[in-house]
Amino acid sequence: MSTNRIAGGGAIDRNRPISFTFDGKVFAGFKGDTLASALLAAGVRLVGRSFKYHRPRGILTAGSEEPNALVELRSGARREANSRATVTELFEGLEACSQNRWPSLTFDLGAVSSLLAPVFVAGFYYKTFMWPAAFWEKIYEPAIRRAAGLGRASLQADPDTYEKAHAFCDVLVIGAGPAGLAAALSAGRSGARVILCDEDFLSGGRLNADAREIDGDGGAVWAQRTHAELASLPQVRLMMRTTVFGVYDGNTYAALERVSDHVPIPAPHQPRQRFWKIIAKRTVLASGAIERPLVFGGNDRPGVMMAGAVRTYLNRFNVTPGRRIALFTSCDDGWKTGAALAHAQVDVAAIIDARNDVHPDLLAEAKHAHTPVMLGAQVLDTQSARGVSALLVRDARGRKLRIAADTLAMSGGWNPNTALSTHLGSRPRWSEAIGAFVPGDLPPFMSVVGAAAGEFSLAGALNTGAAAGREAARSVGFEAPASREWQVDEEQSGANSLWIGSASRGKAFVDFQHDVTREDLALAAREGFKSAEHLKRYTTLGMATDQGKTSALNGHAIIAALTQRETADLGTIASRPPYTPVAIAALAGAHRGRDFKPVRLTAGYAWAQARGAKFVEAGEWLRAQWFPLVGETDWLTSVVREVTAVRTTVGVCDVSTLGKIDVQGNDAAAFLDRIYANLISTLAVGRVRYGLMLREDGMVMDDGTVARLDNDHYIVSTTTANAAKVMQHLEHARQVLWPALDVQVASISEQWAQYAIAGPRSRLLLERLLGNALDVSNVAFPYLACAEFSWQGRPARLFRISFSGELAYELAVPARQGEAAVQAIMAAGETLDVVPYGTEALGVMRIEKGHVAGNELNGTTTAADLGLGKLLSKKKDFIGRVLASRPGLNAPDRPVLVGVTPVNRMTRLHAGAHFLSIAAQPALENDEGFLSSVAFSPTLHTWIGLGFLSRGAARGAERIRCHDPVRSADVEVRVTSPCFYDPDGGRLKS
Amino acid sequence: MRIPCPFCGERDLSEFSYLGDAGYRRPELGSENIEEFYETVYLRDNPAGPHEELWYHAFGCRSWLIVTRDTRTHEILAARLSKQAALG
Amino acid sequence: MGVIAQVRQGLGIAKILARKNEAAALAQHVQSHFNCALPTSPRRTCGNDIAVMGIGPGSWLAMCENGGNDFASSLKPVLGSFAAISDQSDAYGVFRLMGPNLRAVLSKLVPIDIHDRAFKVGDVAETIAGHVGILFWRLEDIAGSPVFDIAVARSFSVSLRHTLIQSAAEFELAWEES
Repeated sequence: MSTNRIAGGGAIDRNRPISFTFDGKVFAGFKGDTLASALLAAGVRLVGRSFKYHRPRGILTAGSEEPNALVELRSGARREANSRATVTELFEGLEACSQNRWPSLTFDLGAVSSLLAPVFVAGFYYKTFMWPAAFWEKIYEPAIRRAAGLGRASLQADPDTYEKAHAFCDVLVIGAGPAGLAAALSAGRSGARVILCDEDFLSGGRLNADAREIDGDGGAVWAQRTHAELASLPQVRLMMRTTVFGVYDGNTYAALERVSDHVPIPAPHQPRQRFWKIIAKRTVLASGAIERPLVFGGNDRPGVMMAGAVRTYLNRFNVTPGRRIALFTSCDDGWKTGAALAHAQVDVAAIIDARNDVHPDLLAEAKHAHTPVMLGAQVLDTQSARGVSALLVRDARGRKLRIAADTLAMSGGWNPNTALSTHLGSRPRWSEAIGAFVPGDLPPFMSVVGAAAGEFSLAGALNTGAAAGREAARSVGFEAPASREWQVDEEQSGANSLWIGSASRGKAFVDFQHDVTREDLALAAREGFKSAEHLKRYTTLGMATDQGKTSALNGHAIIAALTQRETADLGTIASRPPYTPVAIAALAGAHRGRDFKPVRLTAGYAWAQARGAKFVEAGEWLRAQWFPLVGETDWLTSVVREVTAVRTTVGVCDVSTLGKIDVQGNDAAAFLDRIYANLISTLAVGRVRYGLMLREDGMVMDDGTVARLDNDHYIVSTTTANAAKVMQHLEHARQVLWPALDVQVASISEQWAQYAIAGPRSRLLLERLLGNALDVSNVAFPYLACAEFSWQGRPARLFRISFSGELAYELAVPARQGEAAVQAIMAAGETLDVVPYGTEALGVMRIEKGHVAGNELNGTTTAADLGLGKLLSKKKDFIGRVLASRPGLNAPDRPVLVGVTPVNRMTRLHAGAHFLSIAAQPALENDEGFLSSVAFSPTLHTWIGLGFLSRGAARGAERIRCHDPVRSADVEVRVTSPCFYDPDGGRLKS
Repeated sequence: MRIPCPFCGERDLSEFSYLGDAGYRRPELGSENIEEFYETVYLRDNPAGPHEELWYHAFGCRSWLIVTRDTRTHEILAARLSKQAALG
Repeated sequence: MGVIAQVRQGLGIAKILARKNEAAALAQHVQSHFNCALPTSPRRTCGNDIAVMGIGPGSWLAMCENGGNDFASSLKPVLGSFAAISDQSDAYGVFRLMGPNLRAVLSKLVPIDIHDRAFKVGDVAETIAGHVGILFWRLEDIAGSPVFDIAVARSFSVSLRHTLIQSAAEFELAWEES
């Protein structure tokens, strides 16, 4: 089967054969192969169909820049589309499938779209399917989606895990080719903390692809020796299979480590991939170069391959891509492939160079190898549908010849891989000397070496790398020992000038992955798209998953020529992260499914769970929503029972999630006067007051209670949702607004577990619970009293406050005692018929009382809107005072808080419904406000609601409608006071 | 982006929350000047170049910082404690 | 075992916030009463029965082994004139972590450089670990392996414990309940 495997000492392990399948057929390869090299070894040339035209495609490159050989890997839930065969490490049992073909790879009905090519011209997204509009969704889009596109998603949950990690280093070296290895070595020998990353599983880069010598050894041998030395240095971390895919501000680099992609399934407790955030003091970019294709007719046929990739397959994988290989080049480097093939005794059909003159040494070498040479010649077209069988060539005299060859290696020179140098916004700079863009302004603390810097010679790569590594280490305080220069075999600095060709027959592809041809660019130019950025978006050149690694420069050079400009002046586009595609799962790391976000549990969680509570997510918290009894099957039954119990006997509710802040200092009273809209400084020690907090723009920010424990000591509470926000607000006030005040604030939310004990029997319960620890009689501990005391040998706090409208208390105990305390409360209340109640009953009772909560404190309501305008103190300044007085916020027609009850009391209300006058049409101009909170009140035996109604204060008893187009409801309601229950508050004080 | 907190040292952006222009000056206590409040609350500078901004080290030492950031490059030129800066 | 984790029980923890212009007097009294130098940076210093960590400008967390809630109240008469004291003994879950693979595990949790050169014994950092605020500090190595304590808000301790178990699974994690 290994028809194309040749002898040689590459980086495959012939003692470790591997079997794998491609489109269901079994193949064999070796450890060290990529999927691409193993397929080539087996003589497989057709591996996929192209995006738009479904043209047959083969393997173009040997690296991550591959635009063509995209396959689906694995099966079932692990199936992953659009994997590049050229970087897929072969493992036993690997399943690969070609994609974007139907019904089969060799016979594809979609290929007919080649015949419809005029439809898919540049800008077709913008102009082909404009009319009629209704056709887009039903006809055009589904048709295009079926025809164009790449692989299929698995549509199943990903069974693998992913994780994130952080790394810090003195010197980050990106790329383990000769320049990167040299940089890492000199930096590593200095004792600096070094991280060396490479996307490949083998270090060495081009040293594995080209037969070179360093210090008398083969380049690949030198690379492995250097790798081994680096591995032995304790402060050096070698990260193979790791792609640095993004550069961010603050010396921050994102990298993806493919921990388990080279094994069938991850080992136990190993993630599939690990997303690294690397912080590096210095960075050496040694990302190498990417070879430029040539643009000519049929340049996308299977069998047309980059000349440098041919050398990689020959030398690293001991695979020849063909039996008779022609070479089409416009630079000196391409000739190396001719020499390498000749050395491997592969038949070289011809070396076709577009240039009229080349260095005599090249000609001599070709002559020595008996290789036919054509100068000043061009390939016009390739022949055969599923792989090259012959080329049509025009020679220097204009004659057209047919040359038989099964493979065409092409080289248009090399582009420094500048991608990571542009992520922070700088543009590459044109270098006339090498006919390519080189990195422009570099990100801070980054240097670039080797081919990435346009230094294409091996000696240059090693020397610039070593110098940059040494300098990077030195600049952060580490001195590398002196070392001698490496001796490399003789090399010439070859010409690398850019040549874009002119004549071709048939489609000449510029962007293989997005099927953009030279004709598309010409059309775009005729239609006036001339900047590199416009060109990209109009033609989609460079917008595929490969981000134009092989195509962008050719595209820009062609447009420059078409518009009579220099490539240098046209410029090129900046690439953006990620350098290669990254699975979203890797970015999410462990934060998926149940672990999407952390969960906060109160001290009473286990108790509530044991009581069978149903929980609800409230921000990060899990709170008990209701406590169903055996036989209660719907939430309403449970909630009605809980509310009724609190209104008639006593209930207990975990309110630990409310924010609690300890405020101390000589200026604490003055400080809180500025924070709250109402007066706080007049509060007596041992008393509690409702507090309303505004933002400086006059809107309500939060509400809660303020308890004064001592002259200079307050405890303030916040809503659950705003706890962190209020803390930040207080810190802002004391650090930024009024730093001269003596005030200290500390969050004590986590210290105290707090339980509301509410209902007519709550005092009885507390008397039994606290015994002699505290006198809770109405005289000693009246409504809005607070006390610190010792209970069961530990500190405790009691507040006589009520959200339910009943006689009620909140008892705070140290959180470690929380579970024991709630159990003690239940035990003390057993004969008083105490029930635990959840947030749902809490919500019903606060609506019955007309207390505002999150639905009303929504950031767009003022104190006056909430009916709390009278709280705004006129005796002091406070945050929000002045802007709350703006005329617009006091306009008479502003919606203000009202209550509503349906005319038919059992008709369900829905929050979000809009208020309309009885006869008004449901239209925006007739909108009079909305319903913010609703509940079924078991106390009043009716649905009730709170909402904001225009001029609501003056509309008592008026009938209006709650119109809810989303749920097709339109309910007639009566406007009432927002307080439905015990409006005089007699029960609170009883 | 990384911000050099004067207390904690250099930390990742994700630990901080942003407020904006540090030129924020609340009018004197008791001021009735609604125009001044309007400017303080709504009109903030947003220059292209070095800019003094307020950042809160929410997941660190809870200090409010005055951070000098070049808005064109995200280079952090300085960071100091707001409280210290105000008290001199 | 690559990593060993213990839950620290019974700690007395108090937050100490210096009152205006009293930081020097506070430091003096902490020194004289507890023989402990009040750190002015994110460091942990130990005194008689007490360890104090700098967690912000003018802000410290003091800990006392087996101090319970009485610890904070015992500080008030001594330091109350110079600082606002709040009991935080119940506010944190505190885990002690040790073992040869601990740094590899922590690197999955904290965005802080915890290399031996960068994070020394006695260093303290407050930061965010997978959406959860944590405070951690380094103790003396044991048998050549690093030892760290991590304190997390009590309500998050189940979540953090879960994350720790996940992150350390590849190295084997042993929970030692004390």
